[in-house]
Amino acid sequence: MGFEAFVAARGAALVRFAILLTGDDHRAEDLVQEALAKAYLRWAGIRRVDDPEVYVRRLVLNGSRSWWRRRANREVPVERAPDRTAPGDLSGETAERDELWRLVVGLPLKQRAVVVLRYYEDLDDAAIAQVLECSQATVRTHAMRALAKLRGHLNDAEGQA
Amino acid sequence: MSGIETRLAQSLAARAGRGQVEVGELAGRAMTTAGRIRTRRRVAGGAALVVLVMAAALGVRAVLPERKDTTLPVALGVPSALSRPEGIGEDPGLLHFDLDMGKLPGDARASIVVWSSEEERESVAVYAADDRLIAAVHLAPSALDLRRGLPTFDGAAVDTTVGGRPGKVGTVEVGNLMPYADLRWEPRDGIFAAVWARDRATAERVFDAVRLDRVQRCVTPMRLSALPAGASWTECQTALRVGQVPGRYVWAWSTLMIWQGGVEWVQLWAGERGNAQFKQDRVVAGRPAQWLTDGMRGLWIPGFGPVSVHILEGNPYHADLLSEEEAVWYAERLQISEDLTNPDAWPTSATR
Repeated sequence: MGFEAFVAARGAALVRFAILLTGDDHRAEDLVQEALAKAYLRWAGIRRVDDPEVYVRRLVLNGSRSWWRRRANREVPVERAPDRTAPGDLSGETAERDELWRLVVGLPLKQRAVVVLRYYEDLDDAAIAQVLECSQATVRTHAMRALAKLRGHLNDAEGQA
Repeated sequence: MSGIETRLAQSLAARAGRGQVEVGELAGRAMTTAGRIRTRRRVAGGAALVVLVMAAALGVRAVLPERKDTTLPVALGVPSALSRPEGIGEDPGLLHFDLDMGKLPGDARASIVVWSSEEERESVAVYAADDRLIAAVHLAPSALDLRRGLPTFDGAAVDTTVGGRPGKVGTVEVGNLMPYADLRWEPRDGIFAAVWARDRATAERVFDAVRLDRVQRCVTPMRLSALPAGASWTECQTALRVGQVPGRYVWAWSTLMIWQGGVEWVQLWAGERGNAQFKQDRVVAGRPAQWLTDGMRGLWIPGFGPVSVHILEGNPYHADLLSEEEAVWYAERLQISEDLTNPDAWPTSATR
């Protein structure tokens, strides 16, 4: 597949992936653009040896890592997460979804990446391990810790309510 | 899926689906950014390092022997671009063309000539003594490869013909310098060229000095005893000073670019020896070294045999990705040819 055809087919999915990693729509577009630029520089090589989508996802992930590092925000306190519950939304279901999303943004990047790839992209552990360049056991560890953290926060919140 | 997993999937889908995602111009913008990355990488590899390290060069002058065949060592037995255009950009150790400096337009005196070979593109750039670009020639085996490696035209390009063949001419901004005429066409079947010069007529005259029937080796005095697992050599650059005697050059600096996977490139730079502003803070590979954090971040070893070596992240957007440990790993495996005047004896690849 040529570069432009790839972007036309997968560009939107990549931007949504980046949005879920960063919680920031504008930064997500910049990250994907930057990742695609780097992929474009090596497109022929990538097509030969790698799955372009895995490669670009990896670039997006590494880009978001640098971004968080620059912001000194690797471990984002939940209170400072960029996304907030949509104002004026009184629906309990939506509020709960937003609350959960806010907690996801507060996860460390690798845990967040695993959560996004597993529960949004619906990838299996093997595919996630390929993107993260780690073992499947590590993927499972990240997932387990993320779920434990989210459960803990939700239980705390319900306990306070 | 447990309850929380289901809720999580719903929450992520809801957040991802919020708002419009426009990707209509994403590919074009990415290609423009790619051109900038290449230009910035090149500027970082050349002029900026020259300014940093050469400020107090200790006067090593490696005058190369006069050559009758090619500027750099001739690659005998390798098909030329004329007979096998698809060979262009196939091997970072080869340049499928030469430039006859004597035929360049004579209104600006060349001081430095920079040869580059990288994936799917080969180039030569000629600079004046004040580091101003005089002209550059880029060759690629396809129009797409050429476009991929270069910045896009500034504004609209117009259709033209060059030697009866269709092409485009526009302007391009090189670094933050003045806009140059950018002439792009297919001068021979399967050979795609871009020439940058101060105007279109000069660009055509510069291309007249290109020899497509010659193949030379992009050699550097650097060699690594090993590459990290999965890494590959992707780019070679060698810069020569134009000597006082026509046809005699002095080696100035060289770069090897190693791709480590993902977004990480490591750039190994070797240049004329100099130690201005050097403040040793460690010993690496038995030599005084400094980890630079300001400006050109990376490991600097000003006295690596006869040259000064700088190891830095090759991707200027992620200069912070190269760790001190990685830079030391490369320094410990780097070997430098002692004789800087004999490029025929230099390694013909990053590891051979």
